[in-house]
Amino acid sequence: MSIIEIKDLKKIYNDSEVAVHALNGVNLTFQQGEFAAIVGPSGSGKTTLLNLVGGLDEPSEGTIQIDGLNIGELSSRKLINFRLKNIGFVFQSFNLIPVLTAYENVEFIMNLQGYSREKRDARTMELLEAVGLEDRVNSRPSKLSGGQQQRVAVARALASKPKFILADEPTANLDSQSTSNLLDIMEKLNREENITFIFSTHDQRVVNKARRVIQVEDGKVISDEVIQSP
Amino acid sequence: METIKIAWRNLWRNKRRTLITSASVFFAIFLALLMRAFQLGSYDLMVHNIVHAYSGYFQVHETGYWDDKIINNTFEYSPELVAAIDEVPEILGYAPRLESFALGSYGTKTKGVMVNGVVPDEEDNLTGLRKKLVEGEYLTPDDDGALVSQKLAEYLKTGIGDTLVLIGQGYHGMSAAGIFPVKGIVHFPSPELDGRMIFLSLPTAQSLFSADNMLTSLAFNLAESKNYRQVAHQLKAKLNPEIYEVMTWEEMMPEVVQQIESDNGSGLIMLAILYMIVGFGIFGTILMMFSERIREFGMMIAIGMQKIKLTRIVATELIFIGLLGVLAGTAAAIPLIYYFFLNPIPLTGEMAEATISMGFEPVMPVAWEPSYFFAQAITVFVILLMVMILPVVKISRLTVINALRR
Repeated sequence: MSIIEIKDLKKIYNDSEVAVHALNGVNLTFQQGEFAAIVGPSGSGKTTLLNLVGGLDEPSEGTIQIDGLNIGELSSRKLINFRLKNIGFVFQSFNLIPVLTAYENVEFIMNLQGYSREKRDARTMELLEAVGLEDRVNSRPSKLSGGQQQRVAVARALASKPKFILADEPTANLDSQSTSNLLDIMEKLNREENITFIFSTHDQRVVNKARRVIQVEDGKVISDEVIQSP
Repeated sequence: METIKIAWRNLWRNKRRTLITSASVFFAIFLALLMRAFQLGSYDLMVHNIVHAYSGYFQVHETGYWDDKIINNTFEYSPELVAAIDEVPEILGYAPRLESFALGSYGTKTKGVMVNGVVPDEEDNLTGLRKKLVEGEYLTPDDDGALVSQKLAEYLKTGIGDTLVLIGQGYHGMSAAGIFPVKGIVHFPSPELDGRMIFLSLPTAQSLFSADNMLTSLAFNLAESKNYRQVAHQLKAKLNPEIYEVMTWEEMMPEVVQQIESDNGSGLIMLAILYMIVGFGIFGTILMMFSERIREFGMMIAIGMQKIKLTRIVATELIFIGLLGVLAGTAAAIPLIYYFFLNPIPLTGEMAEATISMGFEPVMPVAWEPSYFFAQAITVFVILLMVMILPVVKISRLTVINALRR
């Protein structure tokens, strides 16, 4: 069964005098354990698609079902709760909470979920070890490099044991070494723990790692290619 | 705990702004406390002076006496009345009085005077009459002499040992006339009182006015001054309202109450202006804080934080700012106020003379009571609650996608 099912998804922005059709009838499905990249030029609708799948924005038309639940029907409060339990986010500009340490940023999500202290401690350390930051647990984001911050963001996204992780241009602000490290970590987590990753990206290095590449242009899916693992 | 931790750390992201905002609360609290301490202290002194100069905290009269102060409106100083008073434990003491007007004369000088028949010790306990003695001796319980106020004595050109003549109307139309040796001279700070007071022992005054065992008033002193209304009410409930009226000093002297209220009102307006300025300062801070962190708020909601929890963090930050200012302001004001409470500032020059002429001590006292400390703290927190409306509304209307685009 698909974990994400997108049907006839449209998004029209009416902010300016001319309506902008950011998405124009997108149909997609994602299965558990996918490592998929949504690619396309700037303004093609990649980020809009990711925002809609993440419940951060409302579609103008169409539906998004996650595990059979139409997220467009959820109230704002329920949608926030749904995101907390089901979706992990990795943002382009890291978006960590600046006043919390790496450890606390990862723990934060589990705190919101009401996990016990013991469970939080164990999982936070496990995740920080998984992203190779066990020696930076007490560093605040301002003391971490971009790559390290993004690895904390990945650990945070994983903390809630989400159904899938949406990563919007996760490597856009990283140097090549950090990008490579991050991709290795995410690929490893995908392979070993069957965690679903969906990226929007311009970065060819991300595309090269992806096992499914969805090309978007002018708000439409123009190709959807599954790449067989070597 | 998470909320408190994040809020506390957020405060110190911009130390200077937090310190400036807290400092504005600090100065508001500090100034407000000092202002209120002096203001309330002056009212306390005013009330204390009035109560202990003459009226007591409350009085018992015959019903109707206060509106028509004539010698016929007297009541009997009966054992039943004394028994009823004794049933109220909060009463520290009371001064029985028989008061009326008469003409006082010595030699060729005559003047309208107020004759007070008093129980000397009880009167001294309530009003400190003995301390006002500047010449001669104080009255004994059955004394047949008189104490004359200083200014009146000067007017009549009378002195210790001279014989004063009092002529007036006694109880139920009896004529009241008598001669009384001047036993002492008393001084009242108020020129008005100093120019017309004569004190006789109660039996002597009752004999003068042919009003045996009759009183015009009983003035009460209390151990605990704050609850005088309650004690007056307690006594009132024990007395027959057709015979006795129980009146607090406020009911007897509404003009003093009005004066205090009007002065208090203007003080409160000043405080309101002060707090309004502080309120706008905090409002500015919260506006800046919000616009700086809108993207962060959007991210927190995106990853699953409910808006109500986010509001709680912002509210806690505001409370911390308020607490810092309130605690620091109170801590700075308390020693100063306590010092001035123990050592009231003495007034000098014309201000002192004006104060003395009103019958008050020439000092600037301060009030020392927790109520106004709490009132200032509560005021700041009410302002914070009002300021909090902005972030609450803004967060409730926040759309994640717009916030993340900032």
